[in-house]
Amino acid sequence: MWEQFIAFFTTALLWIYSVVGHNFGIAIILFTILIRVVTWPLTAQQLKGAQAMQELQNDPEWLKIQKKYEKDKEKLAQEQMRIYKERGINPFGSCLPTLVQFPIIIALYQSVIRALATTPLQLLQLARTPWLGKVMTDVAAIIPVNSQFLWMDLARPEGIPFPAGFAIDFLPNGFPTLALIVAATTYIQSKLTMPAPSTKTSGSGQDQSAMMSSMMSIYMPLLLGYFALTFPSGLSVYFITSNLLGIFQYAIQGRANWRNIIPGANKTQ
Amino acid sequence: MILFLRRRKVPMKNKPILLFSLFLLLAMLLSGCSGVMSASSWSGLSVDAETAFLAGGQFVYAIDLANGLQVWKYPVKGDAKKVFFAPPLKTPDGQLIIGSGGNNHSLISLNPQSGNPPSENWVFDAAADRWVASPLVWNEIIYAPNGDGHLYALDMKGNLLWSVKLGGQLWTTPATDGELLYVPSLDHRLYAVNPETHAVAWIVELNGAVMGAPVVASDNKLYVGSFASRVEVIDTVEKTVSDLLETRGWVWGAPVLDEEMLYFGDLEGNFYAFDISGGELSYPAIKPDDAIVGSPLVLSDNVVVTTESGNLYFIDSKGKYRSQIVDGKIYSAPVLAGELLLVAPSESETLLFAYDLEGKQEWVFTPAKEK
Repeated sequence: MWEQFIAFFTTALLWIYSVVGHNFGIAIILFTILIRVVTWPLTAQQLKGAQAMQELQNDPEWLKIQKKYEKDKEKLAQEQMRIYKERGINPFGSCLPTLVQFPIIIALYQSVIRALATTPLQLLQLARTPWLGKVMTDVAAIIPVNSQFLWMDLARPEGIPFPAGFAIDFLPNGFPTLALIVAATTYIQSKLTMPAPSTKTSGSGQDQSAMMSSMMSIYMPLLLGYFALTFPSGLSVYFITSNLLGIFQYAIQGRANWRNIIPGANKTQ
Repeated sequence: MILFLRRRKVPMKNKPILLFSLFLLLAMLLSGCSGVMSASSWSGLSVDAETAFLAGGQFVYAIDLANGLQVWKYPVKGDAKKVFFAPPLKTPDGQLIIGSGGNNHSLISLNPQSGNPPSENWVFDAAADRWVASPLVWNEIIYAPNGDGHLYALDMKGNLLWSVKLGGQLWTTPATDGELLYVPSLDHRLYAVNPETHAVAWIVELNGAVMGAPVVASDNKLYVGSFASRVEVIDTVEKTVSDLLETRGWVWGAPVLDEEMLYFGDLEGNFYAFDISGGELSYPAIKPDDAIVGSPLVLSDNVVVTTESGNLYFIDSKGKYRSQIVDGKIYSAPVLAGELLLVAPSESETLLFAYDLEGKQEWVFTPAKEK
């Protein structure tokens, strides 16, 4: 089943590659846009969940229980669950769609790796990808894939070489431009969708889901930045495109919370 | 138990750990399933008069041809970044040259006579990509093609003499006619390089990528099997490309020329014996069972081919064949070592099988498991 999923992704990716003049970077970008369109319902649900959670932060009943059960965490959790249930809010509504996208990230990553085929065995496996021969009449014309895109080799981690005589051990590929862009765009995207902390509760009164969102906005940029540093840059192209599309989507819907991007900006409200 | 799990809440202070663990799981899924963290391919095999050299993943083994026992293993401890699958090259002056196909891009010269493990003569690590093909040694110069698209020319002490940037990835051992070097690239081109000027003399466009080394014939012709399901002929005087034969599948391994006969197989499992002088197949293509990836091996009475399904076929001049089951899957070409026929399968605990020329098993080599 999983193998079929990867084969489908790989075939789609290579078909786009063949259509756009054998540019694998462009193929990844277009494929990412396609995935964003297909996963639109998930993203919409994520936005809806985030919006509901944001509105709840300033709800009088919510604020009341925060204050009332400030010292009884168990009771507070029970009351929060009651309110979630009454209002039809899924506390993980903004988080679960992100987790559901993980298999898509993994599948895309594996299909990018498969398409880039860095050993003879991988090239042989690529040649035998199911459906490839049915979708394209001349598979041999596009294999192997040209992995050069702008200054990058999409099959390898990106880095702009340091000047001669200068080296940093943990950055063997040079200055990690793409990793920094991945981390920055991931941070911006997660911050834009984060519910603003309630103006009437703080510290111990802050609810668990806001805490979770806050943690996500720290971990996700670090983790994806690490991936960009370590894994082939084709994956970074996916991350950046996906993040930029997400930011654009939030912005045109007027749901982007730009103040969240600047640390501490919300505290001055 | 279920009730207990339902009622128990994850303490607030543990939530970051929980989230981090989830991310760690994703990281492991990405790296574990990719094949990038540990590059893998099928084994590369070569021989000298007494020893077989097997590049089998993180190790290169020297195996005594007389009894199949391990003489040495290099390196002592495996390193996921150093992976060897190009056939080791024994040079006329006794060096054994191996290139890493992993994330470490070293080309290493070993002294195969220096004990267990063998000592390193030199290491060349200026290339930017993997070493997938063996180098060619000609006139005491090592011509090493790299995945970064460069052909590196080294002296026998591993010093870089010159390099030339060709195009695409170079995964094929160059060939020479005594004047020029012929280097196929995965960019669907064949480059003729002049070793005197260190520059590209001319380029021809092929119909597909080429994985097998070109066959140099005496009549100014080169033969290459390509992914475009054909064997292509390059006229080195006219610098033109024409088709010798369209095949039913991609041609992966290098064709083998024996006098006027050209032998090759394809990924659909067909085997071809083409008479160059007559311009036609000696007999209709035969299909033993499965994909033929490695080059055929010509013996005095038979041609030996290996198939992906793990079989060894002895094909006579009429196209009749008999088979011998090996093990695992076979992608690499069979190798002749005196009176022994060596086969290195993949997906098998046994890395090397030795048969006599009738197909009777003489010995096998299974490395000791790593502790």
